[in-house]
Amino acid sequence: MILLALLTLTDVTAQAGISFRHDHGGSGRRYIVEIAGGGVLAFDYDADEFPDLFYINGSPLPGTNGPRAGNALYRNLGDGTFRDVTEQAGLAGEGYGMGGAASDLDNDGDIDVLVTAFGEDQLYLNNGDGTFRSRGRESGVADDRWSSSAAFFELDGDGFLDLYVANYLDFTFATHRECVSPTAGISAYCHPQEYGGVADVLYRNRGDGTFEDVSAASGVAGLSEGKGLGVVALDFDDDGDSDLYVANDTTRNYLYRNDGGGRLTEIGVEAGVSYNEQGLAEAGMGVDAGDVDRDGQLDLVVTNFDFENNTLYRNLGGGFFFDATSAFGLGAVSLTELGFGCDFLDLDNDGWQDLVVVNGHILDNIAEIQSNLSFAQPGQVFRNEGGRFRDFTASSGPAIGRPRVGRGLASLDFDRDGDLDLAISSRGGAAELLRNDGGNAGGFIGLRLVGVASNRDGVGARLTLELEGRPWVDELRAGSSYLAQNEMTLYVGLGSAPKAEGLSLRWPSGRVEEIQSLEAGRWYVVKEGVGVIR
Amino acid sequence: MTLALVAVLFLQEAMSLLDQGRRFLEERNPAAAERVFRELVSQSPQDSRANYYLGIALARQDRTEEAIVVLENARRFAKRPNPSILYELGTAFSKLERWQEAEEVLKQATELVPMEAVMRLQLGWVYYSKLEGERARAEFERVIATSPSAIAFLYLGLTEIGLGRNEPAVEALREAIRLETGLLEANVALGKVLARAGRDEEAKPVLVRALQIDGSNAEAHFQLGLIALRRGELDSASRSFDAAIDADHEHLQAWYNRALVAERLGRGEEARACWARVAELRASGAEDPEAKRRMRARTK
Repeated sequence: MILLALLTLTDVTAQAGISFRHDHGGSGRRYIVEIAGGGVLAFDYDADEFPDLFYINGSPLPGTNGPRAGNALYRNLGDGTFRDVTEQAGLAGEGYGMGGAASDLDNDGDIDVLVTAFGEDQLYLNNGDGTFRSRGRESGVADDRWSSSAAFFELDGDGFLDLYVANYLDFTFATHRECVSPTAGISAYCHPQEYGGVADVLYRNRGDGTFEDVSAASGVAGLSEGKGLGVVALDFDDDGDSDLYVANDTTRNYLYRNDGGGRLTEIGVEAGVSYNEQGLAEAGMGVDAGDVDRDGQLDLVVTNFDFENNTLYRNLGGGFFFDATSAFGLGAVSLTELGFGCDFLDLDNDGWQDLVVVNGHILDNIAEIQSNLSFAQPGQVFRNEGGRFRDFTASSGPAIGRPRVGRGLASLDFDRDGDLDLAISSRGGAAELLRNDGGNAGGFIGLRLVGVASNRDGVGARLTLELEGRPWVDELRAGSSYLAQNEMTLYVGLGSAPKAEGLSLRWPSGRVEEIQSLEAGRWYVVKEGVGVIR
Repeated sequence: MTLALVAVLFLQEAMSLLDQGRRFLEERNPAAAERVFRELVSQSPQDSRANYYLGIALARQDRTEEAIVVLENARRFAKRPNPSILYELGTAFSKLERWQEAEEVLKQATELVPMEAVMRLQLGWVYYSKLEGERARAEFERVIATSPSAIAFLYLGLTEIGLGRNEPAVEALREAIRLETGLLEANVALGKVLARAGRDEEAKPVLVRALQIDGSNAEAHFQLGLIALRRGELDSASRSFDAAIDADHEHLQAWYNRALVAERLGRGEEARACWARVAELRASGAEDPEAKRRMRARTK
């Protein structure tokens, strides 16, 4: 057993050379769009095996003057520092960005980027030389509705990544309303219930860097009441294809079962993941999937509004989940926080997925409305102690517990020291990079995947192994949390085990790679049909 | 007849009407009391006491807006600030969720009689309803410091729940139950808060006790159903949800979980019937009262 008391999340933002600051663009008119951004993506844009960071920015809204600050791409130099390469990469972007996702969309060996927006979403294809080109509307994804989180996944098993984009509210400047708090009698951002929802969008990848909207044919377009903020792809029923879970704000969450042939069926209510145990829709924000009880099934977490718990849905198998928030010790510890970014990750390499959540209210004057709440709120670390979580924030160093208006959260091992670090984005605040110091007291292996029949990055691949007599399972994802993406590495904490044994890697193509043993403390590259190549 | 004698007779008649009206109030016959006090007010429109009692008679018939008009008269005609009038007025404002006005008059009342627990409890309740938990807690703690009661601890416990402070809530609710074992609301609230913290073993006997107090308490049955569900005891959960539904046919949460249990047990027809009921209840706006309270207090 590793002593997590030795783990500290150290703020290294300044020394790493990251100076990004999010601009919500507000002028005091309280357009609801100001509350939601911005996101952060961790991906290796230059294929040097060091994950880079991409922060997505808002832009001035009516009533505000000044230039757009732009998104920021930080190249990881491999020595613990980053350099802003936004301009040469061509990723400053335009419009009011929200979040996005990144993966190799044309299977040419480099990672492409989608930026979601309040306005047209933008797809940037990687030229392989450190620069990107925008396909503009030709890409087929330039939907101008208010988009939030996105996830790439294989819908139809054709070896190209398809795309799900969660859309939020039917808000425009023309439909803007001025709202007041009835108790405090002061101006406040409107409740999302003041605006209608918008149907999400499903795109099929044509394979040439362009996408086709298949929302209608797939069954996604019919659900227009949802107010989507978070999305994660997972094979919840372990049938070999990727399903989707969508967190909606104040409306029921969706679970789409992939029925093959490009068809998704929404089964959230019957499966027990649309509502909390009270049968109530919550204000879903961020979402992640992970096997928190090591029973071989992927569970789900959704972050919610204050005085709603972050909800943990335990996967019971057979297509059923149940709200196990209280049973897992998460019931009373997240009540006064408003959660956004969330990540299941093994912070201390003990083989159990811990949970990190970043919080921050949506009302900038919430303290005047409700005196025990605050706009900026501390982040939280929950340590998984054999299937039950314990609040470990106070023992993780001061940085994570510092108040911020947290939104995006992504995990990556930026310094390649064998433990997962955190990148955080805040609404209207400074970006943060928290280095994990001490998490690598336990062993680990990291797997980067190279798909052949499957998509090039192996997104959707499912790794299973047995660790200390219990199953361990996870999948590779491109897009999760809130407006965010983790580094695309399958990362296994091994505790004191000197090696991982009996690994089985199921690719989206259906091919299964059996790997007998991998020594702890190393990163490996696994190629589909070949096995470990490095 | 001299003028003095007329005055005495008039006063005697007024006193007699006042007593009569009060008796009707004690007998819980506010409509009869209203008739009597209206007669008194018609005789002496500027009689603060007559207006005060008329206000109470109206408030007890849930005619709160009329009560406020009359109580405002009572307040205006009183020779000096009267805490009882202010309290009734504050309670009436609270009923209409006119929190600012309720706070204002109840603060005046508690300044006049700082040790009066009932008034301070009501002021605390106003703060609680305004989502001003810290101020609510301060009021309840002041009451407890001078005249501890099960109700004061119950309110404190509910406030602590509202503040997201689980352990202090548990302590306060346990104290409420120690002072009054049969206080149903305290038992149910304690059972809920323990269950939410994952302390099912402690929650279960508290909820069972709540059902001993009132076997038809839907919330206690529902919480026991959730505990059984967490343990994977589907049949037991199903029975508890059924009992909750029997006690309250509009208990959306119980219907919802009943549907999920039926799904898991493979009872498709039963599940469909429950889902249909869930849909009906949602369409009729049945939802968690606490969520509604918070929603109302947030933004419009």
